Amino acid sequence: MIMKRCRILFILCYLFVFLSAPVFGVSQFLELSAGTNGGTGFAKPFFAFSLSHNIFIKKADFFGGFQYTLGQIDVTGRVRIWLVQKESAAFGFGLLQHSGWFLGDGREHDFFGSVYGSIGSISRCNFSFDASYTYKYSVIPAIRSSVKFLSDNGLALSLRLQREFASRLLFYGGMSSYEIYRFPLFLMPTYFLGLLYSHPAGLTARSQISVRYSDQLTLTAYVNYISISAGVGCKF
Amino acid sequence: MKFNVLIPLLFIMLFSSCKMGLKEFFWRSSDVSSRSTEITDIAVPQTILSKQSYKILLIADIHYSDVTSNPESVLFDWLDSLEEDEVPDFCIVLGDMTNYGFEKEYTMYDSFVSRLDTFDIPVLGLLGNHDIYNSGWDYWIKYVKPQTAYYRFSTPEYSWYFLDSANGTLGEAQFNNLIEELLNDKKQKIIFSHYPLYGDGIFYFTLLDSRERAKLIAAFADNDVLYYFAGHKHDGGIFDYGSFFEAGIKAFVNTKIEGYFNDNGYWAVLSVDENTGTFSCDEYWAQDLSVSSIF
Repeated sequence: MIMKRCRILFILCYLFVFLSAPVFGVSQFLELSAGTNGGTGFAKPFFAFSLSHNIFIKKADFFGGFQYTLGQIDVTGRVRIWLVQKESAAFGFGLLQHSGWFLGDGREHDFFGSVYGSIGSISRCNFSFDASYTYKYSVIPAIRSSVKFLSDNGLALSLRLQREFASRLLFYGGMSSYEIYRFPLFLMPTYFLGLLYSHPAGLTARSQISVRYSDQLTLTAYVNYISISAGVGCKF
Repeated sequence: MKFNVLIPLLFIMLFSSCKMGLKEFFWRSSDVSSRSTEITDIAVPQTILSKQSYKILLIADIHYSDVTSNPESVLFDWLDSLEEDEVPDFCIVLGDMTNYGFEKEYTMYDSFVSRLDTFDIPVLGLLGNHDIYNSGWDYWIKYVKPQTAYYRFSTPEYSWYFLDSANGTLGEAQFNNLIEELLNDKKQKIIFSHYPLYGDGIFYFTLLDSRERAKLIAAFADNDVLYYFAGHKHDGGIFDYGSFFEAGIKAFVNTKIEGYFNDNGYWAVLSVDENTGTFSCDEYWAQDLSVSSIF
């Protein structure tokens, strides 16, 4: 019940921010992306399509988006509050909520309490990270008459390096134990490399390659699959 | 799961990781998608061919190496002390026979199996994550029966499945094949795997892809699975899903982290009566041979 209320609160907050954004003239970013995967890992989604929306205000930003892959729908919302927000350093905290529906086999909900940090100018080299305490609860209809839900506490971590060239091209890479629409229980890390081009008119184009591993902390080193995605966006 | 358990374990892994084949951190040549794609049907252990009730010795996480120890002498003394009809009919080792996957460690395991053979206890093995370190798979198929990591045998009433979860996932091919085999198999099933499914929320030592986990749990619940046995997490963990039961078998290796683990290993005995359809499982602690019931 508490979880359901949290989810509803998250959705209401996001809708309020989304609807009021044009009124207050805050900056926004909308991106449409698509991707495909290859590999031998478990149930790799062949095709993924996502729509993501960011709203930036002073000392805070909001993210909302959804992704559809074959057999699964994910919705994620996130708010970050920045206590320090300078060009060369930033520090803040945030909350994230994700819901994923495994079409036919259940659903899961993730809640993150996170700290965010960033250091270095983006024109030289910027390092950013986040670390989170996570809570997942999963509902599996086949056992629901006996087990209402399964709950998992966990940790999540993301590291990223990026650098901008000629004020247009942003090159980034890093590793993360989760992705914005993918929330394994713990260290099934993704290594990613990407390139973002920003046109002066506000349009963007992005491409990214990600390598997704299975349980790498036990050094079993199995590449689940490789994902390639591309997106177009606009800042307004 | 308690984070205070994880932190000492992380340090242990960090400081011992060089021997774990760090050069294979990003790539191993033999992964689950090449090892285990279709189930292999094997013969029922000879020792239970004519029996309707029998006992199975369950051993998890032996971790043979130069730097570990285990209570095998206690186990053999205990076997010596049993009446003939109390001696287990066969043994299942639930993965991590070795610590680093070296051939020398596999020969230590081979000696252990030979000694069990003197009690007329044949041994079947499951593949664990430690067994594939340092390209250990090549030795696993040489030393560990039945020389395959994904297999099954059938008794009159039950089907016994052994999964390859050594990479922390079943991989797409094994997963799809397993689902198909479960659907086509009308018998009740008992599953063995190195990685636990959930084990009462043990955080790290489970299958980490929650979607894979959800689909497996749904498939087991819908296809007459009775029990799921696992190793990997050294202090065990049980969970009742209603339609089936998960039992994590505590490690056989002697482990001592002050305040977390006891310093002597465990084994378990699963008793099966196919006439009455009853199962019971008892856990033995090598420290004092105390017995406690898992179910």
